[in-house]
Amino acid sequence: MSSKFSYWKMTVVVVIFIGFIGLFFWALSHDPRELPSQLINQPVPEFSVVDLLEPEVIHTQSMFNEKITLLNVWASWCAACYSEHPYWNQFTQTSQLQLVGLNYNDKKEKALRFLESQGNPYKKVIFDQSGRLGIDFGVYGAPETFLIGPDARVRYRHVGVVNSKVFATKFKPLINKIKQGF
Amino acid sequence: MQAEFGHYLLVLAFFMTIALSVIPMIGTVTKQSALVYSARPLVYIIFASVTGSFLCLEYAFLIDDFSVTYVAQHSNSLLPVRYKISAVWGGHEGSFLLWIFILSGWMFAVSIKAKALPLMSYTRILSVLGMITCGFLAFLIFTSNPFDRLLPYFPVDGSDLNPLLQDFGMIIHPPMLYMGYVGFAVSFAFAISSLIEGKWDATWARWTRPWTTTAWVFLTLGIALGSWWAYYELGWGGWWMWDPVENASFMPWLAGTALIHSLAVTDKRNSFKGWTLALALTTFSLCLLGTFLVRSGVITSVHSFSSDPGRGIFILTYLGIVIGASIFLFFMRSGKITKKVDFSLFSKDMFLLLNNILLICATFSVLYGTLYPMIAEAFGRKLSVGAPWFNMIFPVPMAVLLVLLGIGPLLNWKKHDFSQVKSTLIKQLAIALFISGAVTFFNDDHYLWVFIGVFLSIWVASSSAFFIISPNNKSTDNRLKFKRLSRGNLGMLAAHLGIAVTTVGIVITSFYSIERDLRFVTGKTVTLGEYSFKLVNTEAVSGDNYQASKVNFEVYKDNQLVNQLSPEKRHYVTGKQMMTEAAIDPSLWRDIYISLGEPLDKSRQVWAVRIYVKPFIRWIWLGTLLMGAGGLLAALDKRYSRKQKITDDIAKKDIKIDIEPSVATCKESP
Repeated sequence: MSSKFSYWKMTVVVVIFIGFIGLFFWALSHDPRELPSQLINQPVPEFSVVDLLEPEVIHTQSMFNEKITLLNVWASWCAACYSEHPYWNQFTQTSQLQLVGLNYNDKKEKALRFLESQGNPYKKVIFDQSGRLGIDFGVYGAPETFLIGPDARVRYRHVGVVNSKVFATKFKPLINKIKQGF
Repeated sequence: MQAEFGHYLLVLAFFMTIALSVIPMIGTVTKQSALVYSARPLVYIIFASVTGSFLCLEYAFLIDDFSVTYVAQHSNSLLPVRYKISAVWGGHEGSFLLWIFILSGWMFAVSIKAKALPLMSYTRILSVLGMITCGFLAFLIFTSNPFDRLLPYFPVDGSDLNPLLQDFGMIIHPPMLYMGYVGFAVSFAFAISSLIEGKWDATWARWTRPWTTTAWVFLTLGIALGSWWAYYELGWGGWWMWDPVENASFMPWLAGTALIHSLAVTDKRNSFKGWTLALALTTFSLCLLGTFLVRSGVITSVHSFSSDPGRGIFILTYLGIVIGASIFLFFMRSGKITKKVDFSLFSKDMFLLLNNILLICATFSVLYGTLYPMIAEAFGRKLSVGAPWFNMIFPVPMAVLLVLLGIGPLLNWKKHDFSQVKSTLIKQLAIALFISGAVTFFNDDHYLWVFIGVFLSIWVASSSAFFIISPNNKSTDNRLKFKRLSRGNLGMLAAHLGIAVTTVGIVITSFYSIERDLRFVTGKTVTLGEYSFKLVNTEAVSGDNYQASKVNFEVYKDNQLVNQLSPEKRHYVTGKQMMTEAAIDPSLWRDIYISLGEPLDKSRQVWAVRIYVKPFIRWIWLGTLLMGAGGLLAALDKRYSRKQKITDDIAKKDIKIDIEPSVATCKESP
């Protein structure tokens, strides 16, 4: 074997290796859970998308007006959503907030089956079949939950499962602030 | 007290691993016997202290010492004892302690079992294992100490173990998986040691093989247990999600499978050497990568542990050093690796080469799918890769692999005359076509995929059958042929048969499962396929740490009672979590699976229920058991336990004056 060839191979391997390390390093400093959406404190993107359960109903950004809303991004292919869902079922029975579901990148029958078997805690479910609205919202993956103020501005974004602990520490203080008019 | 003692033992082990990484390694260079011989006692001390530390944490859990943060977070006084024991590995810190405990166990096993190795190799291997352990221990002590106290104000009771983990599968799944994961550290250490020495030959491969195969067996069973747990515990009937964490364990498995095959070539034919070494390094690197992905929080997944950027940086640095150093070492030495291509296109060597290429392709497609969301985000796009992508890509290399798997084992090394196997292959083809055709004919949907899947399985299975009576088998008496097979060959047959069984299971269950979401009223009967389901009643039950609604169903087939199934909806008191406990009627041919949705009325008489009838799903895990048994048989092959003939020149070359050759080779009878 010629030694030149070995150098060539080594360069390739080293470049790939450094690329990976660089990528991981970048990923660490851009933790998707911590990363605030570019939309924080911005108005929600404009959209007009159908409802999952009532296809004749079309939702627009005005659905967030005058109410404090939690927008929960979910999908039937998302394993974590199955473990998150019981929390929302419980949540919706006690909370006054508007809980809206954003069904993201999903098939209709699978999404419906998910709600039938797991329960439907949502007031309305936006059916974002193409994933277009999710991209506008800056969704990284399901589940994600956005807190939207009565002025239809995004106030907080949480990546990953919400449970009572997450809600109490991350959402509750912000909701109190919004209620006080901030 | 036990927490401080456990912490002390960890720190002690940490310093001992530093000693083990440095002192014996220097000894192998300077040829000082005192330094060289320090390796084994150091390993004993490390193993003893890590074991002690692990037991301290167990003890803290058993006596409900909630002043220890980790115990307070993952246990509760109401938790049943068996789950208190397993709660030790219910979170990041404790599971990493288990990881190190198992690693030190492997190291201990190497120090006992590999005494017949040349002394210098033996010492180097232990020293390399010491380095690996040292890094992990530093990680545990500096970023994730499980013995941290919550003082002076500690909770009266703990916040309980996640109910999903309060389960038999979770007691044994992590230890099994870690046995496999860290087991590859041993083949890594063997490879590094031989690279340092600059000597790699068939003997090296023969030494590595049983260790690698054993690690592979554990990893196989560990992954299978995880899949089985997900199936019955998560309540949605799935057994594999292509979740990043599942992928993190699956990639080393694929690479490890390639490695055990490549090692066979190096052992038997003294070729593929550079490739085998590179694979041994890759496999362990993938284990480290998996650790990074799972424990740093860079990836969103159900299973991943709570994220902490400090930990991520630490593992990334460690990963960079270990992989960087092994790449460096490999290329330093790779010029010296002699290449030998002396086989024809139609030979066992060639088929094993293709096996390796396909498995590596599969590994990289999984790697790509796992990391793609991250790569895309780095370039400013956001998306997630779901199961559909993997389901589309992954079967392609696997299908080709199964075709080759039906031929490869029948061939001779180096060169095989096609005409010799032609008649066997035609017979195989006929059997596989006949059976898969019949199966497809008697079902009414998804012809193509089921046909391909069943065909490939039967093709592999019949090939295994023909292997027993093939002309390669020297015995003339057919009845004796089976007995003449070595354990290695038997193991290979079992593992390949396992692949066939798993493939059938996957294909049939993927395409012929029935699932329905139904609204059930008490007393009502619903018919689904051949089965009728009757909701008998709902009762309130309570366990040690939960209260539940238990809904009793009766399952009938042709008006005969098949079974009574009672899925539960549990409410865990401490964690305030709702859990669905599915009820399953398992059998070899089909599983009936009932999972509760929500109660649809206040009096809990009407329920949303999800019912699955999943044919052949048991075959998936049955196949993995066969693979595991096969691997175990192969690892126990007599050729590895035969006393190795160690040439004197190794001893002469390595040791100058102060160690006598007879001592140096450490020939101790097993």
